[in-house]
Amino acid sequence: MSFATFLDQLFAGLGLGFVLFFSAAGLNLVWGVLGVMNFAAGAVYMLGAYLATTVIARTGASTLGWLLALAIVPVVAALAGAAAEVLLLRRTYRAHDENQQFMLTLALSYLIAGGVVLLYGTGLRTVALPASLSDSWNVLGATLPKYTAVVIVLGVLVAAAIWALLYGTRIGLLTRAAVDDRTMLSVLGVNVNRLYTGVFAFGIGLGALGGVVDAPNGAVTTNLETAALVPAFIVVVTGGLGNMTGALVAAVSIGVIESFVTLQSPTLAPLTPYAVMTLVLLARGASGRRLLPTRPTAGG
Amino acid sequence: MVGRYGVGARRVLACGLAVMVVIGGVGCGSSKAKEGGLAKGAPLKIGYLASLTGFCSGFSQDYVKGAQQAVKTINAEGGALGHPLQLLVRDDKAEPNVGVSQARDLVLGEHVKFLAGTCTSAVGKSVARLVANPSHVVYTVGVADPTVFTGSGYTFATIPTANIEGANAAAYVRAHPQWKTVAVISEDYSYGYEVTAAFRKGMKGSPQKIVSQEFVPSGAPSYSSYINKLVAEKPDVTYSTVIAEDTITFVKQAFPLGLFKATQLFGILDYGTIDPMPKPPVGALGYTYYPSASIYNTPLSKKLDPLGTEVANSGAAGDGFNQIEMIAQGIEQAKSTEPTAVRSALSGATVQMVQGSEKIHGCSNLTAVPIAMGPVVGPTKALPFAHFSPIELVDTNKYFTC
Repeated sequence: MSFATFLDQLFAGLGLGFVLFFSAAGLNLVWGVLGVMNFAAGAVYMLGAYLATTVIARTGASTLGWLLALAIVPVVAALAGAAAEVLLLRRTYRAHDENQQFMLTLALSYLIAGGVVLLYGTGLRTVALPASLSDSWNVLGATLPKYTAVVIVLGVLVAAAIWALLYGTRIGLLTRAAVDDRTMLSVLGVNVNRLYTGVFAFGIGLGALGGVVDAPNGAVTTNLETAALVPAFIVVVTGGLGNMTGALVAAVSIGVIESFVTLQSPTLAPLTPYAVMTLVLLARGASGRRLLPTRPTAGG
Repeated sequence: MVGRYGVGARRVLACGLAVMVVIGGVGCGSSKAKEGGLAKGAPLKIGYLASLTGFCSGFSQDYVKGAQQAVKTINAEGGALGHPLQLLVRDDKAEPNVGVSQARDLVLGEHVKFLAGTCTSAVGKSVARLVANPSHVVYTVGVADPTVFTGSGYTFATIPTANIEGANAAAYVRAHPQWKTVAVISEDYSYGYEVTAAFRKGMKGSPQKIVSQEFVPSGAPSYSSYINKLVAEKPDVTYSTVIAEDTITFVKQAFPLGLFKATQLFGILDYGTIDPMPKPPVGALGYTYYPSASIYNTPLSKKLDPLGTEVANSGAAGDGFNQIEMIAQGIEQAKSTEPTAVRSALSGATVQMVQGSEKIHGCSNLTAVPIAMGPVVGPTKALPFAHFSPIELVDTNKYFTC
């Protein structure tokens, strides 16, 4: 393998890895902190991509248009997520019933998917990249598409922002405390309901951001929902629930390994995420750790 | 726990009873259908499976529009044998289990005797098995896996299959001896494997060398690593059977990675996929069963005009239209609405389609519509979407061995 080929596959793997990270980040946060397995995560991702087509269609395929989509869509999705948490999801915390949460988020995913079909139809949609991002750079003989570089940089920035929020702010401290003992936090006078709403809204915003970032990579269709959800679960399970660093490492590792496996065996490459997840779970099991870490239910 | 097992047992019992009722229903339905046909002028229901969500959802709206347009025009002309057609559209989600469930509901619940549609071979194959026995329902569909049509007798293709597609692609590559090395990229499901096998069979004995073969996953977010591999190998030509929305992902990612400079792309490029691309792969050599309907200038192609230029020329609309026309013409030719009679009438018949007068080969139930081929060009005034020009129509009858 030449050095240029190595770099080509590395760039492709990093690009794929950060797309996987974007699809998993919101799910991971909501699952890890609130204990809610959000089956609407794929639908939110799809909605983000569709909303991006609307924003970019109105503003034009310019850098400004794309930046506006990046800024507006996650905020709109986060506000809708906050409303859904307050009006619907919050009721399920009291019941301590994960089945209710599962059914509710599944129902939300159907509602979102149905709404998208009603609003946009089922035809193929695409998002054009601004001209400034549509070609590539030559890096030591390898080809680095500019948009892949943008996805990687954006992914690093988002991961750093989440990390800084969780570990460098009071809100992050409270959020981490809520994972351990929601009741104690409430007794100490923290408005846990508001905290949970914020975390859920942030998670939904992250999911929608993933859809915006991924939209220019291919076609925007209703198929994005399942295309995003399954890899997202794999990344979250592999990286560890609520462990954002773990999710980042898992996503990037899966992307890079899959990219290099493609060189040797293109047919086996799509199995990479499943193989990595299986190996990680086996290693966890062999080391005597639980396959999935336990956490208190959202009710406390 | 005991309670749960109790509920489980009751569920099993209920399911068992439901299955018995359903099986009983099949028997009753069949015997009733044999005893009497439709009352004069009664609506004739056609179940239509469309992958409105899931893989190839981007196409399926146009399939439905084409099918609805066929129903509209046939009904305006008096229906099929005097029966107005009624289309019942169901979403199969491009999943075989959902497709079969919907088809079963249409056959047993709605008592349809005719089914059409779906865009994936996987769904088509499952539904074809269901309609063969014991239901005896005529099913028309435009999918490419040849095994969908083997053994059923009741399933008819509105297009040739992957065998013919692959054989034609091999003949095209062999006709270009300047292409010494060939790479093949296909999707990792039945259609991809069938078309690739047929292509490789057609290339046997050729001095041209197949240097790589890749099966890529459907619906993947990134094909960059596969494209990099192709760019590194620099084959003279890359034969691609990546289809539906994956074509868009593949082409969009191929541009910045330099694929079109490293190799000549040749493969299936349906108009429905190259049209929505912000930057179509101008210069790539494409083929499709359904180019713009307007190039045929046949009585049926003109009936697609009310759908508007984009839809009428999407290809999928033409296929949906043909599926319903085939059923209606089968009924007219059989002078009966009984599926067994319609099946006999369609086998080996010549039917009018968007493309013109086409033969259904009796040994395989495949229709020999031509394959349209040509280099991709951008939108023009006459055709305001990416298309092939000049376009060549290949007669596929020569690939049939029966």
